[in-house]
Amino acid sequence: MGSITLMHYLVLGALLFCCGLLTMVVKRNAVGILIGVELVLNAANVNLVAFGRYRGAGIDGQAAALFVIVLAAAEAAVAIAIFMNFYRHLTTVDVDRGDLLRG
Amino acid sequence: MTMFAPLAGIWMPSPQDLRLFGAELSLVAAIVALLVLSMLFGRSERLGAGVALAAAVAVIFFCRDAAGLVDTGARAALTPPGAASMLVADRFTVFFKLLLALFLATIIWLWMTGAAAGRTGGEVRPVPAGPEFFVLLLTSMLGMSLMVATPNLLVMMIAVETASLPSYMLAASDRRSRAGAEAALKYVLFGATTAAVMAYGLSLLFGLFGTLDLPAIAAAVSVKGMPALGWIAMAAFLVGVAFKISAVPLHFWCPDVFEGAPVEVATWLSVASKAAGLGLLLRIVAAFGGDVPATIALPLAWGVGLVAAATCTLGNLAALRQESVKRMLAYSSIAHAGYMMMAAAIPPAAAGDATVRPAMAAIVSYLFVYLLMNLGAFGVTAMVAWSQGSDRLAAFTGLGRRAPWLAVPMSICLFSLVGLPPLAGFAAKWWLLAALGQGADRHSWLWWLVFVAVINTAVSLYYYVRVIRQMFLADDERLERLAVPVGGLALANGCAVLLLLLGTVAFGLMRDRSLAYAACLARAAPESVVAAQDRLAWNGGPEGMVVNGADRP
Amino acid sequence: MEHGNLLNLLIFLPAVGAVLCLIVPGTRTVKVVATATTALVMLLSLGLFRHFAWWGRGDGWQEAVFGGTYGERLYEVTRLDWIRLDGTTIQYFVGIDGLSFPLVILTTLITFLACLASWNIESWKVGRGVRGYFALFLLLETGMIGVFCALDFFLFYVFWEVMLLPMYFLIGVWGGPRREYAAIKFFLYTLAGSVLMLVVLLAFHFYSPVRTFDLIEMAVNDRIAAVFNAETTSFLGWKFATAMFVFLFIGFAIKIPVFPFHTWLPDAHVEAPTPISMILAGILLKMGAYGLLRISYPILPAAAEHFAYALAVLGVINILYGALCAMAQTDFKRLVAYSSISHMGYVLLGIAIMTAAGLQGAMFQVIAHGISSPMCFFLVGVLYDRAHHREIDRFGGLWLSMPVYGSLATLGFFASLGLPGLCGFIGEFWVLVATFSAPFAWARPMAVLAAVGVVLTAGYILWMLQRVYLGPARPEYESFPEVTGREVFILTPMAVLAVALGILPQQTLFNFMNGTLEQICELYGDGVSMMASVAGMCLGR
Repeated sequence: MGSITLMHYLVLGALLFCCGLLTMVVKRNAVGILIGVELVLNAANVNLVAFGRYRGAGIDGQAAALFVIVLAAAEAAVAIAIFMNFYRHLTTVDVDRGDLLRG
Repeated sequence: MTMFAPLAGIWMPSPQDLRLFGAELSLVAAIVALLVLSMLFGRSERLGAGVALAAAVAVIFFCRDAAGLVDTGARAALTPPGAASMLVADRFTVFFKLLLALFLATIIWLWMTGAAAGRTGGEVRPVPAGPEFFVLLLTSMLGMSLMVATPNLLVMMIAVETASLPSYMLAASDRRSRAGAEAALKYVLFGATTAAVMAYGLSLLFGLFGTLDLPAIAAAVSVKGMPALGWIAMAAFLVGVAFKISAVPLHFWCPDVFEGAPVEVATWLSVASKAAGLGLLLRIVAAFGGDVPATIALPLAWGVGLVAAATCTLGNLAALRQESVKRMLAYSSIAHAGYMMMAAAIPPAAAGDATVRPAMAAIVSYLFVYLLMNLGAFGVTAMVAWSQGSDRLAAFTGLGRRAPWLAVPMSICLFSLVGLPPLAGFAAKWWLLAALGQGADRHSWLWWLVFVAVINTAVSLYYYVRVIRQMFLADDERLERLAVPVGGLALANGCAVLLLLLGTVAFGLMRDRSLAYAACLARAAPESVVAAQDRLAWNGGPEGMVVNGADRP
Repeated sequence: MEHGNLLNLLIFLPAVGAVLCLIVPGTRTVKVVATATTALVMLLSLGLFRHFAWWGRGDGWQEAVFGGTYGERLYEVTRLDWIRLDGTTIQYFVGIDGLSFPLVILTTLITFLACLASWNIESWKVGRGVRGYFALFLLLETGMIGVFCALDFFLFYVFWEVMLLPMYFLIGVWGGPRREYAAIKFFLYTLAGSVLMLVVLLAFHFYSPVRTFDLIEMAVNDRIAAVFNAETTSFLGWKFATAMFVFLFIGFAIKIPVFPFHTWLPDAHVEAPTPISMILAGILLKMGAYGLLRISYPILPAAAEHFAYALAVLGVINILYGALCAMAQTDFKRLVAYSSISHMGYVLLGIAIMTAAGLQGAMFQVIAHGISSPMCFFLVGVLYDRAHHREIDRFGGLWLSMPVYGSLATLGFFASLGLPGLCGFIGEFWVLVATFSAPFAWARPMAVLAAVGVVLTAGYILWMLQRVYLGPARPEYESFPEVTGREVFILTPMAVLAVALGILPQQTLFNFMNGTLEQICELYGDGVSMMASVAGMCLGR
């Protein structure tokens, strides 16, 4: 009792995942959705590192987490750039305002 | 020499291995060159196009080279000793790279045609300017090449992102366009969401199986069975793949992006992104052949089949009432992705079984034909949109009189998309259905997919013919003839002629070639499963890991 | 099996002509090229008669011409490997036997006449190119001859689909006011039917113990027949033969067209230009019947017997429904279109009862209708060219202003009506008698019902003749010019054939096809064919 097991990390990861998913679904602000995405990616990172530490013989998990972090950073950069481009046209980043293309 | 001493223990790939990946390396070189050159010589579009074209040629050259190298062996892998391979080179990947390179060249051709046509500044005429357009194009191609060339889940994920990130930006490459901005926003949000879910699935798969090597996972599954959580993780991972293919229900981005993005970009995404996604899906499905018991392979196949049927049905139904031809073609591309996914639903049977090869070959030949059809249709749409300032159906009115050399190839491409003989679209569909029929020997439910496919064919006729009707049956005498750039005519008519040839005299040739390209994937998958079993030492297997998580390192 | 290249010539000569049409200068040259091509094809097709010449061969001529069993004697065969598919090849396999021979001749003849009928294309007031019209027209001929000559299922399917595109454009571009609707309706209906045929094509291949697409082999190979017709062979839970028969039937029924798949036909006919109506009624409708006789019945006889009652009922519905609808029409062309539906009902009925006499009657009706209905459509077209409307009630007393036309029209419509001595009579009578003596309990009532159709047909045609041609002359039509030389030239061959087939049915048609039809009947099994020979004796053969 008291020691932190793999289970704890996994539950944390699952919670993060749920929070992120909820954010992505609920938020109408593009930046909000992006934050949800980051939460889910970090859930994956927690899982990867925890699995790597508790189950692994090598550093595969940790290495994978590093890659995911880089991906998340790149994705955020691209996404923010696109949000700004959208903002220039509509002066908002509310995704519901993107209603030109539909059908 | 002492300087390199610390490197002594580190594995370096042999030159032979690197030669296999000359295509990727030349893409990287071209990307770097473009960035550097634009710093040195200023932002020249011509330069960008030239370097990108050179990269395409280099890729084709290296692919032909690699095809010869992997021809003799089953496949060659970039594998450090004692580790799972991160990248593989087999004829299947060679095919995809060749396809992408050819397509890249034609996209550049299309871009140059548009550039030469003087860009009159109509509302649809975008100017994807500057060398960064080509940097992004090449980067997305690099990602797509990697997508089909890896058995490792992490590399798959990285490759998907490498392909996606530039694509998001390409969609917004016309910065004046509000539609482009909106398309890119939807695209990036959709893509980021699915990528995140994919990453979470990956982390769970890693936890369950202790490896990210797909053949090793398949081997573990065939020994220990698939835990329930494994299915969820698998599904979450496949979400990312389905996004690339634009499979239902992850297809919503596709019509918006195609409508909002410049025509070149829409054309590129319509074929390249889907091709790479399908290649990836095939590799995953093929890995679950071999020794994997039917209790695991079959549900996977059913899932893929169900999604495929839904994809092509919904794609076709949604296409019925589109007024924008680009948007209609976007839904049509969703439908065609559905047809192709059907072949991926054929359950791979025991090692050395003959059924999986026709299925792979069917997708290979379908992709090639699909490239031609889409290129022709999008190309003509581009010409019309550039000169009319609109890609609405109304812009095509009377095209049969106003620009017969656009209208006739457009009709050939559209009829080919329907799948009418004697055009190549029928040949492609025929090989697909034949593969399904052959698989139905053992899995009779595949006949249902045949039904879905043929009924969808009949439905799809309606919306393709709407365009043809507008071109030939409707006319307005006041409309003047269209001035069409020669490059565009050459592109459209070239596609049409090839479609005619492939549907008639070269009907069988296509299959022979595609069988050759499909051979190695089919053969390699079971082998690598066997090889991977040796590496499956690190933990006892998938079961119970999460449940009794008390163990510590 | 006798090899030869004549069929290849017939199939691809029109395609060459189509290309020529696109490149030669001047609209008149285009017309000449197209007409010359169709004429040449027609003349060449006459060369086929040498294989089927029954005269001067002595007593054993039937054996000599048709051989002993189905598919034993094929003429002008070309067999080339086209596409390799595991364990077999898809072949370019064309040949001709007693079933396809009359249809090929009919096709080349009607196409030639329809081409002549297209000469006044400028007066159609559609303002579209002549070049495209004739190119598509010739492409259509390639597809049609190809369908009748193909003996490989895959090739058959390809030609079947190849016909669709030209037909769509010919109706859609050069048609009447509602042409777009009619064209897409035709296209969608036919494609819906043919995709089901595609399923059958695949299923035949993958269920067959012998991997083949050869239609003859599928019919005569006992191993294939055993698997296809076995009770235990199942396709997605249905009985294999039943499912395949239904799919094929839907495909062919749309073409024939059988109630309730017929609704495309009146629209297509009314909107199509006259020559295209001639081809549609004269040839395209026949493909449904041909497909049943070439594919469904020889390969799936068990299912055919299972569905005999249903098909016969549909046939009778066609006869009565078509006739009643025709009676209610005020549009002249629509009336002829519905009469086509009625007449094709006899074909379906004759096929459904599965006796040799039934087949003979059905095939005779196919050819007879292939002559009389293009004639009727052309007669309507002649009138429309002058009056620019087709309202039956607005005509009257035309015989007075156009005596030659009136006489030819009476002949044509009487042929369609089934007046003894003209071609329509033999086909209908043969089918009725065969139905009456067919080995099914329900056959006699069915024959009686079908006979009612004859009365109805007489009713609507005579009523129409009275309203249009008889009665007092109307002033607005008095100045109508008499039929031109071209129009007489087009009508004459059909009129001559209508009479010839009616007076000498044995010599002009039965002798050319009965051998093969009997062989097809033998494939059904002994019981049925014995009854057939009884029926044949009743008819005095």
